[in-house]
Amino acid sequence: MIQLNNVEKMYPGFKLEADLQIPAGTITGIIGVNGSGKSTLFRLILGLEKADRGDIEVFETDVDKLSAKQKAKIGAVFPDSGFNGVLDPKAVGKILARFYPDFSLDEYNKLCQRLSVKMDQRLEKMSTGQRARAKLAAALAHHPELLILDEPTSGLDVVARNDILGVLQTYMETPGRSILISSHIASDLESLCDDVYLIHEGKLRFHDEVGSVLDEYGLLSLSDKQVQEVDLRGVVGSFPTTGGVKVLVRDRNYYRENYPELVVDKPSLDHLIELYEYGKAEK
Amino acid sequence: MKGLMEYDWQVLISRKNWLVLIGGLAICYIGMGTACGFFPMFLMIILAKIAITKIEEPIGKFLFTLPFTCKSCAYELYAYPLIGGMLIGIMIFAATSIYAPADWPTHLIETISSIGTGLVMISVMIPVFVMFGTQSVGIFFGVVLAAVLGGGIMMFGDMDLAQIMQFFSNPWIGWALAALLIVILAISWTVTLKALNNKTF
Repeated sequence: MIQLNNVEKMYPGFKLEADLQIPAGTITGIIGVNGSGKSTLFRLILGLEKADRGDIEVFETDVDKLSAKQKAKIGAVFPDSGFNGVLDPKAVGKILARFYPDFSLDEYNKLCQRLSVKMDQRLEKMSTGQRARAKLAAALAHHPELLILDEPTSGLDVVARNDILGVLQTYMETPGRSILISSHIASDLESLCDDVYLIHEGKLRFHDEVGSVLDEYGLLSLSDKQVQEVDLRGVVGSFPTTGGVKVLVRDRNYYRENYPELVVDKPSLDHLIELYEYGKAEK
Repeated sequence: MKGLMEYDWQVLISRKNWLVLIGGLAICYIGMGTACGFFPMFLMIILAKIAITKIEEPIGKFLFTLPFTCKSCAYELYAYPLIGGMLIGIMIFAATSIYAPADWPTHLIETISSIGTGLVMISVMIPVFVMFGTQSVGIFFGVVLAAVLGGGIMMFGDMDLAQIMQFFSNPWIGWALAALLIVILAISWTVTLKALNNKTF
Protein backbone atom coordinates (compact mmCIF):
# COMPACT_ATOMS: atom_id res chain seq x y z
CA MET A 1 0.00 0.00 0.00
CA ILE A 2 2.83 2.40 0.90
CA GLN A 3 6.44 1.90 -0.08
CA LEU A 4 9.40 4.15 0.64
CA ASN A 5 12.74 3.22 -0.93
CA ASN A 6 15.95 5.05 0.05
CA VAL A 7 14.01 8.22 0.76
CA GLU A 8 15.96 11.22 1.99
CA LYS A 9 14.82 14.68 2.90
CA MET A 10 17.17 17.34 4.16
CA TYR A 11 16.54 20.48 6.15
CA PRO A 12 19.13 22.72 7.80
CA GLY A 13 20.34 20.72 10.80
CA PHE A 14 18.06 17.72 10.13
CA LYS A 15 18.02 14.81 7.71
CA LEU A 16 15.29 12.24 7.29
CA GLU A 17 16.11 8.82 5.87
CA ALA A 18 13.42 6.22 5.43
CA ASP A 19 12.82 2.78 4.00
CA LEU A 20 9.51 1.26 4.88
CA GLN A 21 6.64 -0.83 3.61
CA ILE A 22 3.05 -0.70 4.77
CA PRO A 23 1.06 -3.61 3.34
CA ALA A 24 -2.71 -3.60 2.94
CA GLY A 25 -4.77 -4.77 5.88
CA THR A 26 -2.40 -3.59 8.61
CA ILE A 27 -2.24 -0.90 11.25
CA THR A 28 1.27 0.46 11.49
CA GLY A 29 2.39 2.82 14.20
CA ILE A 30 5.20 5.34 14.02
CA ILE A 31 6.52 6.35 17.42
CA GLY A 32 9.12 8.89 18.38
CA VAL A 33 9.64 11.99 20.43
CA ASN A 34 8.57 15.43 19.22
CA GLY A 35 10.83 16.59 16.40
CA SER A 36 12.01 13.09 15.48
CA GLY A 37 10.58 13.30 11.95
CA LYS A 38 7.16 11.63 12.20
CA SER A 39 5.24 14.54 10.68
CA THR A 40 7.88 15.01 7.96
CA LEU A 41 7.51 11.36 7.05
CA PHE A 42 3.73 11.74 6.80
CA ARG A 43 4.03 14.87 4.66
CA LEU A 44 6.32 12.98 2.27
CA ILE A 45 3.91 10.04 2.05
CA LEU A 46 0.99 12.36 1.31
CA GLY A 47 2.93 14.27 -1.34
CA LEU A 48 2.83 17.51 0.68
CA GLU A 49 6.62 17.59 0.69
CA LYS A 50 9.01 16.45 -2.01
CA ALA A 51 11.82 14.04 -1.16
CA ASP A 52 15.35 15.02 -2.15
CA ARG A 53 16.10 11.42 -3.05
CA GLY A 54 14.36 8.06 -3.31
CA ASP A 55 10.94 6.79 -4.33
CA ILE A 56 7.65 7.04 -2.54
CA GLU A 57 4.74 4.97 -3.81
CA VAL A 58 1.17 4.86 -2.59
CA PHE A 59 -1.21 2.33 -4.19
CA GLU A 60 1.78 1.32 -6.36
CA THR A 61 1.88 4.78 -7.92
CA ASP A 62 4.46 7.52 -7.52
CA VAL A 63 2.99 9.82 -4.90
CA ASP A 64 3.45 12.87 -7.17
CA LYS A 65 1.38 11.18 -9.88
CA LEU A 66 -1.62 10.11 -7.80
CA SER A 67 -4.87 10.83 -9.62
CA ALA A 68 -7.86 12.45 -7.91
CA LYS A 69 -9.53 9.01 -7.94
CA GLN A 70 -6.60 7.47 -6.05
CA LYS A 71 -6.46 10.39 -3.62
CA ALA A 72 -10.13 9.74 -2.90
CA LYS A 73 -9.05 6.45 -1.30
CA ILE A 74 -6.98 8.28 1.31
CA GLY A 75 -8.13 9.94 4.51
CA ALA A 76 -5.80 12.13 6.55
CA VAL A 77 -5.83 13.78 9.95
CA PHE A 78 -3.34 16.34 11.20
CA PRO A 79 -3.21 17.87 14.68
CA ASP A 80 -2.57 21.39 13.34
CA SER A 81 -4.54 21.50 10.08
CA GLY A 82 -8.09 20.89 8.94
CA PHE A 83 -11.09 22.67 7.50
CA ASN A 84 -11.50 26.43 7.94
CA GLY A 85 -12.56 27.14 11.53
CA VAL A 86 -15.61 29.19 10.48
CA LEU A 87 -17.22 26.01 9.13
CA ASP A 88 -19.33 23.65 11.21
CA PRO A 89 -19.52 19.85 10.69
CA LYS A 90 -22.76 20.27 8.74
CA ALA A 91 -20.98 22.47 6.18
CA VAL A 92 -18.03 20.07 6.18
CA GLY A 93 -20.41 17.27 5.21
CA LYS A 94 -21.69 19.27 2.25
CA ILE A 95 -18.14 19.97 1.11
CA LEU A 96 -17.05 16.34 1.44
CA ALA A 97 -20.09 15.22 -0.56
CA ARG A 98 -18.74 17.29 -3.48
CA PHE A 99 -15.27 15.82 -3.25
CA TYR A 100 -15.96 12.12 -2.80
CA PRO A 101 -18.22 10.03 -5.03
CA ASP A 102 -18.62 7.36 -2.31
CA PHE A 103 -19.52 9.82 0.39
CA SER A 104 -22.80 9.25 2.20
CA LEU A 105 -24.19 12.18 4.17
CA ASP A 106 -26.30 9.81 6.30
CA GLU A 107 -23.28 7.76 7.30
CA TYR A 108 -21.28 10.90 8.00
CA ASN A 109 -24.05 12.15 10.30
CA LYS A 110 -24.19 8.78 12.09
CA LEU A 111 -20.41 8.79 12.52
CA CYS A 112 -20.54 12.32 13.94
CA GLN A 113 -23.26 11.18 16.31
CA ARG A 114 -21.17 8.20 17.41
CA LEU A 115 -18.22 10.52 18.06
CA SER A 116 -20.45 13.06 19.83
CA VAL A 117 -19.64 15.79 17.31
CA LYS A 118 -21.90 18.84 17.55
CA MET A 119 -23.09 19.47 13.99
CA ASP A 120 -23.97 23.17 14.40
CA GLN A 121 -20.88 24.29 16.26
CA ARG A 122 -18.11 26.04 14.38
CA LEU A 123 -14.84 24.15 14.37
CA GLU A 124 -13.00 27.15 15.85
CA LYS A 125 -15.37 27.12 18.85
CA MET A 126 -14.83 23.43 19.60
CA SER A 127 -12.54 22.06 22.27
CA THR A 128 -9.40 20.17 21.21
CA GLY A 129 -11.12 16.85 21.78
CA GLN A 130 -14.25 17.78 19.84
CA ARG A 131 -12.19 19.10 16.94
CA ALA A 132 -10.15 15.86 16.86
CA ARG A 133 -13.37 13.83 16.70
CA ALA A 134 -14.74 16.05 13.93
CA LYS A 135 -11.51 15.63 11.94
CA LEU A 136 -11.69 11.87 12.29
CA ALA A 137 -15.33 11.79 11.20
CA ALA A 138 -14.40 13.81 8.10
CA ALA A 139 -11.49 11.45 7.32
CA LEU A 140 -13.54 8.25 7.74
CA ALA A 141 -16.83 9.23 6.14
CA HIS A 142 -15.82 8.49 2.54
CA HIS A 143 -14.62 4.92 3.36
CA PRO A 144 -10.94 5.41 2.54
CA GLU A 145 -8.72 2.38 1.98
CA LEU A 146 -5.79 4.15 3.60
CA LEU A 147 -5.93 6.31 6.70
CA ILE A 148 -2.95 8.45 7.59
CA LEU A 149 -3.27 9.86 11.07
CA ASP A 150 -0.62 12.20 12.39
CA GLU A 151 -0.99 12.41 16.16
CA PRO A 152 -4.79 12.01 16.11
CA THR A 153 -4.94 11.75 19.92
CA SER A 154 -2.61 14.64 20.66
CA GLY A 155 -3.86 16.85 23.48
CA LEU A 156 -6.85 14.62 24.23
CA ASP A 157 -8.03 13.22 27.55
CA VAL A 158 -8.14 9.46 28.07
CA VAL A 159 -11.90 9.22 27.32
CA ALA A 160 -11.56 11.02 23.97
CA ARG A 161 -8.49 8.93 23.09
CA ASN A 162 -10.28 5.68 23.82
CA ASP A 163 -13.29 6.79 21.74
CA ILE A 164 -11.08 7.51 18.78
CA LEU A 165 -9.12 4.29 19.10
CA GLY A 166 -12.41 2.39 19.31
CA VAL A 167 -13.68 3.96 16.09
CA LEU A 168 -10.44 3.04 14.36
CA GLN A 169 -10.76 -0.57 15.44
CA THR A 170 -14.26 -0.66 13.98
CA TYR A 171 -12.97 0.92 10.77
CA MET A 172 -10.44 -1.93 10.39
CA GLU A 173 -13.12 -4.60 10.54
CA THR A 174 -13.55 -4.09 6.79
CA PRO A 175 -10.82 -6.07 5.00
CA GLY A 176 -8.24 -4.40 2.77
CA ARG A 177 -7.94 -1.20 4.80
CA SER A 178 -4.74 0.14 6.29
CA ILE A 179 -3.87 2.73 8.89
CA LEU A 180 -0.60 4.54 9.37
CA ILE A 181 -0.73 6.32 12.70
CA SER A 182 1.81 8.30 14.63
CA SER A 183 1.92 9.24 18.26
CA HIS A 184 4.37 10.38 20.83
CA ILE A 185 2.14 8.59 23.37
CA ALA A 186 3.25 5.08 22.47
CA SER A 187 0.82 3.35 24.84
CA ASP A 188 -2.08 4.62 22.67
CA LEU A 189 -0.84 2.40 19.87
CA GLU A 190 -0.25 -0.79 21.86
CA SER A 191 -3.84 -1.95 21.65
CA LEU A 192 -4.28 -0.81 18.06
CA CYS A 193 -1.21 -1.47 15.91
CA ASP A 194 0.03 -4.63 14.26
CA ASP A 195 3.57 -3.38 13.87
CA VAL A 196 5.55 -0.36 14.90
CA TYR A 197 8.41 1.71 13.56
CA LEU A 198 10.43 3.94 15.83
CA ILE A 199 11.89 7.09 14.32
CA HIS A 200 14.76 8.80 16.07
CA GLU A 201 16.59 11.89 14.78
CA GLY A 202 15.18 11.37 11.30
CA LYS A 203 16.03 7.67 10.98
CA LEU A 204 13.81 4.61 11.29
CA ARG A 205 15.77 2.79 13.99
CA PHE A 206 13.45 -0.03 15.00
CA HIS A 207 10.70 -2.12 13.47
CA ASP A 208 8.89 -5.16 14.79
CA GLU A 209 5.42 -6.46 15.46
CA VAL A 210 3.73 -4.92 18.47
CA GLY A 211 2.70 -8.37 19.65
CA SER A 212 6.35 -9.49 19.72
CA VAL A 213 7.41 -6.41 21.68
CA LEU A 214 4.68 -6.82 24.28
CA ASP A 215 4.55 -10.63 24.53
CA GLU A 216 8.15 -11.70 23.94
CA TYR A 217 10.46 -8.79 24.71
CA GLY A 218 11.59 -8.24 28.25
CA LEU A 219 12.88 -5.30 30.26
CA LEU A 220 15.66 -6.30 32.65
CA SER A 221 16.40 -4.07 35.62
CA LEU A 222 20.08 -4.61 36.39
CA SER A 223 22.51 -3.12 38.84
CA ASP A 224 25.92 -2.11 37.51
CA LYS A 225 27.34 -5.34 39.00
CA GLN A 226 24.69 -7.54 37.40
CA VAL A 227 25.43 -6.03 33.97
CA GLN A 228 28.93 -7.60 34.23
CA GLU A 229 27.66 -10.95 35.52
CA VAL A 230 24.67 -11.70 33.30
CA ASP A 231 25.22 -13.28 29.87
CA LEU A 232 23.18 -10.83 27.87
CA ARG A 233 21.65 -12.20 24.68
CA GLY A 234 19.19 -10.78 22.16
CA VAL A 235 19.76 -7.25 23.41
CA VAL A 236 17.91 -4.45 21.68
CA GLY A 237 19.56 -1.78 23.79
CA SER A 238 19.87 -0.28 27.23
CA PHE A 239 19.25 2.97 29.02
CA PRO A 240 20.42 4.22 32.43
CA THR A 241 18.20 4.44 35.48
CA THR A 242 18.82 5.40 39.09
CA GLY A 243 21.23 2.83 40.55
CA GLY A 244 21.60 0.77 37.44
CA VAL A 245 20.50 0.17 33.90
CA LYS A 246 17.43 -1.16 32.09
CA VAL A 247 18.15 -3.58 29.25
CA LEU A 248 15.57 -4.36 26.58
CA VAL A 249 15.89 -7.93 25.31
CA ARG A 250 14.05 -9.91 22.67
CA ASP A 251 13.26 -13.00 24.74
CA ARG A 252 12.16 -12.45 28.32
CA ASN A 253 11.37 -16.10 28.87
CA TYR A 254 15.05 -16.97 28.44
CA TYR A 255 15.97 -14.67 31.32
CA ARG A 256 13.06 -15.74 33.50
CA GLU A 257 14.12 -19.39 33.14
CA ASN A 258 17.88 -18.90 33.45
CA TYR A 259 18.06 -15.94 35.79
CA PRO A 260 15.06 -16.28 38.12
CA GLU A 261 16.59 -13.79 40.53
CA LEU A 262 16.47 -10.98 37.96
CA VAL A 263 13.63 -8.49 37.67
CA VAL A 264 12.22 -9.10 34.19
CA ASP A 265 9.24 -6.97 33.26
CA LYS A 266 6.98 -6.75 30.27
CA PRO A 267 8.05 -3.64 28.31
CA SER A 268 5.85 -1.00 26.73
CA LEU A 269 6.40 0.92 23.52
CA ASP A 270 7.28 3.93 25.69
CA HIS A 271 10.37 2.02 26.86
CA LEU A 272 11.49 1.81 23.24
CA ILE A 273 11.33 5.59 22.98
CA GLU A 274 13.25 5.94 26.26
CA LEU A 275 15.90 3.56 25.03
CA TYR A 276 16.57 5.45 21.82
CA GLU A 277 16.28 8.85 23.42
CA TYR A 278 18.39 8.30 26.55
CA GLY A 279 20.21 5.03 25.99
CA LYS A 280 22.16 3.03 23.49
CA ALA A 281 20.74 0.64 20.92
CA GLU A 282 22.60 -2.40 19.66
CA LYS A 283 23.12 -2.51 15.91
CA MET B 1 -13.35 21.68 -8.85
CA LYS B 2 -16.91 21.22 -7.47
CA GLY B 3 -15.53 20.42 -4.02
CA LEU B 4 -13.29 23.49 -3.97
CA MET B 5 -16.14 25.73 -5.14
CA GLU B 6 -18.40 24.26 -2.44
CA TYR B 7 -15.64 24.87 0.12
CA ASP B 8 -15.35 28.55 -0.77
CA TRP B 9 -19.11 28.97 -0.94
CA GLN B 10 -19.58 27.45 2.54
CA VAL B 11 -16.81 29.68 3.95
CA LEU B 12 -18.49 32.73 2.38
CA ILE B 13 -21.97 32.00 3.75
CA SER B 14 -20.57 31.11 7.18
CA ARG B 15 -19.48 34.71 7.62
CA LYS B 16 -22.95 36.15 8.08
CA ASN B 17 -21.82 39.46 9.60
CA TRP B 18 -19.57 40.04 6.64
CA LEU B 19 -22.38 39.27 4.18
CA VAL B 20 -24.64 41.83 5.89
CA LEU B 21 -21.87 44.44 5.65
CA ILE B 22 -21.29 43.76 1.95
CA GLY B 23 -25.02 43.86 1.28
CA GLY B 24 -25.29 47.21 3.07
CA LEU B 25 -22.34 48.63 1.11
CA ALA B 26 -23.91 47.45 -2.14
CA ILE B 27 -27.15 49.28 -1.34
CA CYS B 28 -25.21 52.47 -0.53
CA TYR B 29 -23.26 52.27 -3.77
CA ILE B 30 -26.43 51.63 -5.76
CA GLY B 31 -27.91 54.73 -4.17
CA MET B 32 -24.83 56.74 -5.13
CA GLY B 33 -24.99 55.37 -8.69
CA THR B 34 -21.42 54.02 -8.62
CA ALA B 35 -22.13 50.36 -7.82
CA CYS B 36 -21.78 49.07 -11.36
CA GLY B 37 -18.31 50.47 -11.84
CA PHE B 38 -16.97 49.42 -8.45
CA PHE B 39 -18.77 46.50 -6.87
CA PRO B 40 -18.12 43.62 -9.28
CA MET B 41 -14.38 44.35 -9.23
CA PHE B 42 -14.40 44.77 -5.44
CA LEU B 43 -16.19 41.48 -4.87
CA MET B 44 -13.94 39.62 -7.30
CA ILE B 45 -10.90 40.70 -5.28
CA ILE B 46 -12.58 39.63 -2.03
CA LEU B 47 -13.62 36.26 -3.45
CA ALA B 48 -10.13 35.66 -4.88
CA LYS B 49 -8.66 36.33 -1.43
CA ILE B 50 -11.11 33.83 0.15
CA ALA B 51 -10.20 31.23 -2.47
CA ILE B 52 -6.46 31.70 -1.98
CA THR B 53 -6.62 31.59 1.83
CA LYS B 54 -7.65 27.94 1.80
CA ILE B 55 -4.41 26.83 0.13
CA GLU B 56 -2.23 28.54 2.71
CA GLU B 57 -1.02 27.10 5.96
CA PRO B 58 -2.48 25.79 8.16
CA ILE B 59 -5.59 24.92 6.14
CA GLY B 60 -3.75 24.10 2.91
CA LYS B 61 -1.80 21.17 4.36
CA PHE B 62 -5.01 19.24 5.01
CA LEU B 63 -6.82 20.56 1.94
CA PHE B 64 -4.16 19.19 -0.41
CA THR B 65 -4.86 15.66 0.84
CA LEU B 66 -8.35 15.92 -0.65
CA PRO B 67 -8.99 14.45 -4.11
CA PHE B 68 -8.33 17.24 -6.58
CA THR B 69 -5.51 18.03 -8.97
CA CYS B 70 -3.43 21.19 -9.03
CA LYS B 71 -4.95 21.98 -12.42
CA SER B 72 -8.51 21.95 -11.09
CA CYS B 73 -7.36 24.03 -8.10
CA ALA B 74 -5.84 26.59 -10.46
CA TYR B 75 -9.06 26.76 -12.49
CA GLU B 76 -11.13 27.18 -9.35
CA LEU B 77 -9.00 30.05 -8.04
CA TYR B 78 -10.05 32.07 -11.12
CA ALA B 79 -13.51 30.65 -11.75
CA TYR B 80 -14.79 31.34 -8.23
CA PRO B 81 -14.17 35.12 -8.23
CA LEU B 82 -15.16 35.42 -11.89
CA ILE B 83 -18.50 33.65 -11.40
CA GLY B 84 -19.11 35.66 -8.24
CA GLY B 85 -18.21 38.92 -9.96
CA MET B 86 -20.47 38.17 -12.92
CA LEU B 87 -23.41 37.20 -10.70
CA ILE B 88 -23.06 40.32 -8.55
CA GLY B 89 -22.55 42.37 -11.72
CA ILE B 90 -25.85 41.12 -13.15
CA MET B 91 -27.65 41.79 -9.85
CA ILE B 92 -26.15 45.26 -9.42
CA PHE B 93 -26.84 46.14 -13.05
CA ALA B 94 -30.46 45.02 -12.70
CA ALA B 95 -30.85 46.95 -9.43
CA THR B 96 -29.30 50.17 -10.77
CA SER B 97 -31.31 49.92 -14.00
CA ILE B 98 -34.49 49.71 -11.96
CA TYR B 99 -33.31 52.63 -9.81
CA ALA B 100 -32.18 54.74 -12.81
CA PRO B 101 -33.57 53.13 -15.97
CA ALA B 102 -32.54 55.87 -18.37
CA ASP B 103 -28.84 55.25 -17.65
CA TRP B 104 -28.85 51.52 -18.34
CA PRO B 105 -26.37 51.65 -21.30
CA THR B 106 -23.86 53.46 -19.07
CA HIS B 107 -24.47 50.97 -16.26
CA LEU B 108 -23.90 48.09 -18.69
CA ILE B 109 -20.56 49.48 -19.88
CA GLU B 110 -19.54 50.20 -16.29
CA THR B 111 -20.44 46.65 -15.21
CA ILE B 112 -18.53 45.04 -18.06
CA SER B 113 -15.53 47.32 -17.44
CA SER B 114 -15.65 46.55 -13.72
CA ILE B 115 -15.63 42.79 -14.36
CA GLY B 116 -12.82 43.24 -16.88
CA THR B 117 -10.80 45.32 -14.42
CA GLY B 118 -11.51 42.75 -11.71
CA LEU B 119 -10.18 40.03 -14.00
CA VAL B 120 -6.96 41.98 -14.54
CA MET B 121 -6.62 42.56 -10.79
CA ILE B 122 -7.10 38.88 -9.89
CA SER B 123 -4.77 37.88 -12.73
CA VAL B 124 -2.03 39.71 -10.88
CA MET B 125 -3.26 38.92 -7.38
CA ILE B 126 -3.68 35.16 -7.62
CA PRO B 127 -0.17 34.16 -8.77
CA VAL B 128 1.44 36.71 -6.43
CA PHE B 129 -0.52 35.43 -3.43
CA VAL B 130 -0.06 31.77 -4.34
CA MET B 131 3.70 32.25 -4.65
CA PHE B 132 4.31 34.64 -1.76
CA GLY B 133 1.25 34.24 0.49
CA THR B 134 -1.56 36.64 1.27
CA GLN B 135 0.88 38.63 3.40
CA SER B 136 2.41 39.85 0.16
CA VAL B 137 -0.39 42.36 -0.40
CA GLY B 138 2.29 45.05 -0.71
CA ILE B 139 3.87 43.26 -3.66
CA PHE B 140 0.45 42.91 -5.28
CA PHE B 141 -0.42 46.59 -5.03
CA GLY B 142 3.10 47.56 -6.08
CA VAL B 143 2.81 45.47 -9.24
CA VAL B 144 -0.66 46.83 -10.02
CA LEU B 145 0.40 50.43 -9.45
CA ALA B 146 3.54 49.98 -11.53
CA ALA B 147 1.59 48.35 -14.37
CA VAL B 148 -1.17 50.98 -14.39
CA LEU B 149 1.16 53.97 -14.13
CA GLY B 150 3.79 52.54 -16.42
CA GLY B 151 1.27 51.40 -19.03
CA GLY B 152 -0.69 54.63 -18.77
CA ILE B 153 2.36 56.83 -19.23
CA MET B 154 3.64 54.71 -22.12
CA MET B 155 0.33 54.78 -23.98
CA PHE B 156 -1.14 58.14 -23.08
CA GLY B 157 1.77 60.25 -21.86
CA ASP B 158 1.64 62.55 -24.90
CA MET B 159 -2.19 62.80 -25.13
CA ASP B 160 -4.67 65.22 -23.54
CA LEU B 161 -8.05 64.07 -22.13
CA ALA B 162 -9.98 64.64 -25.37
CA GLN B 163 -7.49 62.54 -27.31
CA ILE B 164 -7.69 59.77 -24.69
CA MET B 165 -11.53 59.75 -24.90
CA GLN B 166 -11.32 59.59 -28.69
CA PHE B 167 -8.85 56.72 -28.42
CA PHE B 168 -11.24 54.65 -26.30
CA SER B 169 -14.25 55.38 -28.48
CA ASN B 170 -12.65 53.27 -31.25
CA PRO B 171 -14.54 49.93 -31.23
CA TRP B 172 -11.38 47.98 -32.13
CA ILE B 173 -9.89 49.08 -28.82
CA GLY B 174 -12.51 46.97 -27.02
CA TRP B 175 -11.48 43.87 -28.99
CA ALA B 176 -7.81 44.62 -28.42
CA LEU B 177 -8.38 44.98 -24.67
CA ALA B 178 -10.33 41.71 -24.61
CA ALA B 179 -7.49 39.94 -26.43
CA LEU B 180 -4.96 41.47 -24.01
CA LEU B 181 -7.09 40.29 -21.09
CA ILE B 182 -7.09 36.73 -22.44
CA VAL B 183 -3.30 36.80 -22.79
CA ILE B 184 -2.89 38.19 -19.25
CA LEU B 185 -5.23 35.49 -17.90
CA ALA B 186 -3.38 32.72 -19.73
CA ILE B 187 0.01 33.86 -18.42
CA SER B 188 -1.41 34.29 -14.92
CA TRP B 189 -3.01 30.83 -14.90
CA THR B 190 0.19 29.20 -16.15
CA VAL B 191 2.26 30.86 -13.42
CA THR B 192 -0.33 29.90 -10.80
CA LEU B 193 -0.40 26.27 -11.92
CA LYS B 194 3.38 26.04 -11.76
CA ALA B 195 3.37 27.55 -8.27
CA LEU B 196 0.70 25.09 -7.12
CA ASN B 197 2.61 22.12 -8.55
CA ASN B 198 5.68 23.22 -6.58
CA LYS B 199 3.78 24.02 -3.40
CA THR B 200 4.91 22.17 -0.29
CA PHE B 201 3.72 22.20 3.30
